[in-house]
Amino acid sequence: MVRDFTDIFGSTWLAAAASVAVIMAFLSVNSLMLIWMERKVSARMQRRLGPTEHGPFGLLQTFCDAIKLLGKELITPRHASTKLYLAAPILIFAPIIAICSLFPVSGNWVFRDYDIALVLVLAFTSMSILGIFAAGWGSNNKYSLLGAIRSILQNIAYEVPLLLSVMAVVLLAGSLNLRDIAMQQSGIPYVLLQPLAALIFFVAATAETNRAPFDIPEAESELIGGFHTEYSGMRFGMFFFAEYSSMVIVCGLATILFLGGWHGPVLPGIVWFFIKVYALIFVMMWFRWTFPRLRFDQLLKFSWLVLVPLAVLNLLATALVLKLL
Amino acid sequence: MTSGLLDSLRQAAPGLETGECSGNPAAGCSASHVCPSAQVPSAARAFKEAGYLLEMLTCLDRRARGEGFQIIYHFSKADITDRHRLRAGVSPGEEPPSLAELFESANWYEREVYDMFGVRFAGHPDMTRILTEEGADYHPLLKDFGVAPPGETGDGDA
Amino acid sequence: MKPETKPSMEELLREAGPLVHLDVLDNLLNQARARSLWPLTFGLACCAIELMATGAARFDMDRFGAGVFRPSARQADVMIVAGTISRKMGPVIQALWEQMPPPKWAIAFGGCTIDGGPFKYPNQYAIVEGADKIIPVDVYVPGCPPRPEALINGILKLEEKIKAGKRFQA
Repeated sequence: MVRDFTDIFGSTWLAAAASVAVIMAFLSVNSLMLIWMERKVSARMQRRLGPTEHGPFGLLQTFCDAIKLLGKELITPRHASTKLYLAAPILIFAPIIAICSLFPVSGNWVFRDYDIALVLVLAFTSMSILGIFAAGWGSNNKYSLLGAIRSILQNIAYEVPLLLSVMAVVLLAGSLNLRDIAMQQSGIPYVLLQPLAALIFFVAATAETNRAPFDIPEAESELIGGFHTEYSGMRFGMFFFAEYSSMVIVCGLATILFLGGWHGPVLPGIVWFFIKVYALIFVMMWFRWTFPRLRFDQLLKFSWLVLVPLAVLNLLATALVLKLL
Repeated sequence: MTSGLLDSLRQAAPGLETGECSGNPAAGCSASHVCPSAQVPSAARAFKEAGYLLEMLTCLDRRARGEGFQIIYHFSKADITDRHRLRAGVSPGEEPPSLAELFESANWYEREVYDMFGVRFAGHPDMTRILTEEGADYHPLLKDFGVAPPGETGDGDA
Repeated sequence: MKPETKPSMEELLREAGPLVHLDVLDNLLNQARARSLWPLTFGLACCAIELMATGAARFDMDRFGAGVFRPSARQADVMIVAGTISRKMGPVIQALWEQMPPPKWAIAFGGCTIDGGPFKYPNQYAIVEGADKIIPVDVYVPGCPPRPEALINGILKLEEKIKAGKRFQA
């Protein structure tokens, strides 16, 4: 029996409001914890300690960062396109809330159950690119514009292998409903049946979120700050927030599509879901401090000349095998 | 090899006086040649055809001795230990020819010489200051720039 | 003996203190700002190497929350001026300082940023003798170059200064 918020709250509007409230609460706490986790993980990988002074194990460090960002002056560049400049953090962040409402976190719970949930998720992921471009163009800064252009090219390039690898999973599962896809993995997780698709998906997802080694758009030594160069205070905090939230989203998608969602032996489903999501996030952070950054032409070549053919071949092979069986 | 080089130098720049190799012979030939500044580009072309690169270009302020400025060009090669220097005398106000088209490295070295000594190079693509601040109107490495004489200390509020 | 006069309303109010304590919020903000100082990656010369060493493994500025180096001046709180300031670089430092949004602080790291250091002599032509000739400096860390522990000491002094509620405004 699937319960979603519409069943509980009756009216769709109340359900939507409640979903947004819960998601925002979760994403806020999640971003705070992820920023702490990133600093500790990257520190330990570099044989340092990371934040230790403020709070036990430095847990209060991110709170201090957030409060400090709230107290910074918000500067708008003089010749910036004000509407675009101010709208950009919101444009980047809004689709994330929509996507989060589509994830089934356990066998019985989902904010909103749609049969085409997967298509919606992928569509909303593409919408964040508009926000990046608004930030880059509206800042009236050549580094921001270059960072935004590179980010858009990168996102477009890596969306194709992302979609192709997801299509292979859809062929296996026979449904676009995220809950159904996860339900069908109660026996074998799809990562064993489709290892190539899983790998392609994870690499493309890392590139979609502008994480290292694909972080040319925000590379310090290249572009100062990339598209968020001219943002100060909590506006910059929103970009940070959005980056860590999108990490959760792509890892959540990977968990549902390839790792079986909430299936697991002893613990309740929702606990397994989050264990898998955070394990994948740890792998993403591991990538950051393991691989050197890809140069922009290498990045694009890798996507169009390596990932896309592999994903197409994988899709064709899957279709062939399914037809023959 | 050095004699072949010296021959081609003498051919390219008739006014050039070649110098003897000095220093430890095991360390290669380190020679200093005097050349009129107008013939420096042809001598430099001879060096370039022999495979040498312009390593350094600098200047000495010898106006107190009545010898004007002396521009010194250092040429060297990566695979052998020979080093050659060309010394070219320039009177104050004269503009020696630029080597910027022949050697890329000469571009900034000549700008530095202009910045520090005030010697302009004719035919340089971008004869502007490179090290001192914007709008500076002084040339610091001239002997009469105004550094306090030795022995005198001050608070130095420059 | 002076006869006792009845205290006026102003005196009574002054003694009672403010009715609405906004300084609690100010204190909270200052405590948070002190614990999360984001430096601008701004190394000029040799002291920059010591700055990098302080951020690296053995000394680790990140323990104090000050390890997030931001390349963009809009996102940085503290400008650690590390290295000799040549005259050509002076206007650049001023531009970067003005781009930083307040509240912002500056640490003059190394002898050259305090008063010109070893490159100061009468009628010198090359450097700006001290960072405080261009920007307002909060903490001076002497040394040539100072040890990483000295930089950490400077950061902790700056944190004390921030927690005490003193800062430069814009």
